[in-house]
Amino acid sequence: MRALHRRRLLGWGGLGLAALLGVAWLARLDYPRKISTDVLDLIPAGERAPELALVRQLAAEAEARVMLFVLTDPRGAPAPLEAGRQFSAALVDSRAFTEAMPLADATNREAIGRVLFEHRFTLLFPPWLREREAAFLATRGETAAFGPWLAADTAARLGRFLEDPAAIAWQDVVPADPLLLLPGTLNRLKSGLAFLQPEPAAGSPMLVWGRIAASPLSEAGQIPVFSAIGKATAATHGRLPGLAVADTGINRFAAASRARIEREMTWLNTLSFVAVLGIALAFIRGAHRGLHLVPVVLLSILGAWVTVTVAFERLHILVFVVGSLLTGVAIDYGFYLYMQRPAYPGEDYWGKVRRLMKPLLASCFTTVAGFALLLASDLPFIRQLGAFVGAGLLCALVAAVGYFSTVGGDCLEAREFRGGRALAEPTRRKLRRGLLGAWLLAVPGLFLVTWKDDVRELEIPSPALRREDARIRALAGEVPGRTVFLTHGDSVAEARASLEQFHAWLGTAGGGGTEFTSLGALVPTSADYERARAFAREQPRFPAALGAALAGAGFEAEAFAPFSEAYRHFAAGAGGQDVAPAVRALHDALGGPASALLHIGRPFTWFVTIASRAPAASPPAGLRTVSANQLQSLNQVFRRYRQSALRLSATGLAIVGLGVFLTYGWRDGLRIFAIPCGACLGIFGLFGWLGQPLNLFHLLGAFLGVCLTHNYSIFSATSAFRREPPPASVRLSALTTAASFAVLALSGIPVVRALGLTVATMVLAALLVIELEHLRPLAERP
Amino acid sequence: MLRALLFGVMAATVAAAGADADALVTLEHRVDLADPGWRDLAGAFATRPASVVSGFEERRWFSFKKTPTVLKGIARVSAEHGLSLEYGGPEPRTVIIDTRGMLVREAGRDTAPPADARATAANIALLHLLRFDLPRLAETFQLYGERQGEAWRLAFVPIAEPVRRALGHIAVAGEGPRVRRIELRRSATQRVEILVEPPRAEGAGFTADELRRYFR
Repeated sequence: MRALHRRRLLGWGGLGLAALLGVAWLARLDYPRKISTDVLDLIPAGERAPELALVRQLAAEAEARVMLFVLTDPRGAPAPLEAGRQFSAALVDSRAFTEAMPLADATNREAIGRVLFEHRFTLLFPPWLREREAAFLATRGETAAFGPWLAADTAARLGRFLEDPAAIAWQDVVPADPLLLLPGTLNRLKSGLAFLQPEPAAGSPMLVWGRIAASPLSEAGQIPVFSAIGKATAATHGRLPGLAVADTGINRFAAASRARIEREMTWLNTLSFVAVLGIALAFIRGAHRGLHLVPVVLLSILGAWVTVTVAFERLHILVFVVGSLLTGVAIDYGFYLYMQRPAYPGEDYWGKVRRLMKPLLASCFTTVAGFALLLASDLPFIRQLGAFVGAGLLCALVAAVGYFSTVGGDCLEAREFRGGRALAEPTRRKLRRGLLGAWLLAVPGLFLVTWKDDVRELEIPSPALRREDARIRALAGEVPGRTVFLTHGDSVAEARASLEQFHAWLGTAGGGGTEFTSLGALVPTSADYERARAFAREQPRFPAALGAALAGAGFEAEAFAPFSEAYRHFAAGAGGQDVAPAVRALHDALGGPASALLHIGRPFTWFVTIASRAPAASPPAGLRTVSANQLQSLNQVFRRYRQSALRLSATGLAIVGLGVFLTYGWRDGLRIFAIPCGACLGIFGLFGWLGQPLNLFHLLGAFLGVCLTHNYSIFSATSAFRREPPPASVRLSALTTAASFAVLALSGIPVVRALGLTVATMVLAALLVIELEHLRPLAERP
Repeated sequence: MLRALLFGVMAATVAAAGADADALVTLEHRVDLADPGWRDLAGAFATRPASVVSGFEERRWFSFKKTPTVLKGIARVSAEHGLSLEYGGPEPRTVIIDTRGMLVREAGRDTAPPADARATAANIALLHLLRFDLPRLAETFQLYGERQGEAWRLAFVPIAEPVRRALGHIAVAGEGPRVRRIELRRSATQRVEILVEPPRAEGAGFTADELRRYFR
């Protein structure tokens, strides 16, 4: 008794102190800063390719914060523009939105137009001149004749332009812009701009575009935003009673996903608890004593949390979701220790520990070594998961050994069932052979395994939200199948130069079938700009020549004095003619959806190109261009995670196997290791036959399953060496684990379902093999 | 051109009748919607054939051009589908105005110009004019007019000041249930005039092929 008191003093003291320190550490953490729910945080922060960081920045700062609204009156007809303006103003007043505007509101377009008009010679004249030079070269005229040709051609083009219906809208601009720089450029840009900011025709739906202030994945980007929308709707009711507002945004999906996950976690946890309790009651005598397993699991999780929060600056929530499955492994040590009867009456606790240390250490260290290998990954989530599970297992072993030293009385007893060994050896042998045959049939299915790396499987599908999202985006003119590219550089000039090369590549790689647009049409390359300045200096009499040509074509030459003045100003290189300030002014004028087309700042300046029928190939690296398809990018990251996990898991598996072979020798090690390996290969082969595409989470599930079944195998081997049947602790542990993971297989989240299904089937398969006494021959060695 | 009307309505216009139209915009010519003469005319418009095809000539005056730009084409009026103006020339195009707004059909592509208050006002005027729906026109415009036997003239002045400033006003002249001239007049040097010829064909409606080609 005195020894037990001493053990309790030491055990409770040591474990209590550790728990106290751990809880104290966790209590002082700033969780919103420490733990991210943003799927974009799965991308390595120091990504070696800057493009992904670029995509991440754009996605986080621009695309993801956009919300679209459709405003209709009580009859379902489009709400009037004034109602859209009032609604937008109310959104911005709420401070939950930084910007909001009706897409039909011409105010922003007019602001852009004013900037372009003011800087038309700096921004639009250079590309216009290049285009006209190309047209002149096609005439095979003498270089010296370019000036006169240009004047005559411009006058003729202006005459034709006046037959266009749009000419009347431009008549106030033409005297200052007879070259038609502004109408020509905007006409070319029209389809591209319409992609981001359609110009609705009369009768079009009243669409409002808004950008929220906070991340759509955070609570600040959801609850206050939805409240602001409600208030803005109420405020606009004054102008339009019965106003109906439909909206879409990433925050809607995130909020719905969060709500459903919370509901799902509640019922999953409840169901899991009921399942585990049911199994415990069915298989354990005095099930209340099973509560002794709880401190071990809690200490294991505490140790894992402390380790990763100390080791990592920022963690993704998925680490804890996936890592919570650590409990399935951690509980094994407790079961094994607590359910082992003394080898002889009066066996000392530490004597029992020494006796069981070999399988415990072999099981724990090989599993920890496998997960520790994940620390070598270049992907943060994999590293964090490796640290979480590895540290948790070490803590579980230490806690189990320490805690059960404080528990007196009898060990946890398994319930005896009448006819428990009902199967005769010949029957078991036949079943083993049948199982082997099934396995041999399943394994070729590995060649049929397909991988599906889709980041959308991280969330619960929301069909209704998706339908509404598709409806609103279609109303806003978004067309599926367009590709968005980002071309970046350290400065506007660099980015523009790369853009020029990229557009040339699009033309070539797309076989001429790719249509694209970008704000590059509004920003000249350095070469074009210098050429235009040179032309203006060398052709000071061009306005006079143009005036003469215009007069000859029936125009009032004097009416074009504003053009002559602006041309002279440009030729003289007067202040404000540089490209950089003009581009900055344009950038500042871009509001609403168009603001995503150009970014000036650090770390990069970039242009957006929108292309339809884009080439399937990625742009060459030298063009400094990347597809901004966020889903595609994240799926690529997801695929990298899977490949990394596969590579490291295979290596980890080899290490685990090596540990088993070193511990138990080649012959016995092979038999022991056949259980986890066989279960894994068999289940994956079955998935292959069933046509079930696999993803990262099937792989993580398999890794976890291998570790679990590896434990069962080693613990069962220890019994087999002693010519005993598989221990009840293994059966109990496997059944409770299978039950809890089978519950996860009912989840609405595809990846959780994948994880649950993989682990549950692997554990059950391994248990079946163990119960059929696959390891019995171990006792037969000399 | 209609698109010109559109954009242009705002700016555009008509001048020829400019002086006359200006003279019409006086208090004594304010249209009394209850006047039986105008109501009879509206009744006559209501009994017009469902489809009318006429030639038209459009003259655009710009402040920076000595002579007007002249365009010719075929106007199609459908009681149900609105107005379609088919322009000839080297770059043919069709402008369609209906209850959904304006559409420009050019080289096989349909383009809907941006909706703004000025263009919308012009469209509304033209659509209601086709039905001679003066009460509806009066919601957006001050109406001025006079009748002399079968001949009549109307002037529509936008009630909204910004629209009036950009659009000027619209003057229309006709005989009986026929529109002969439409003028979009911003100033003496900025205007669009459309002269509508007598109908070439009238009927109970356009064929399906005509509807597909000239309307939406």
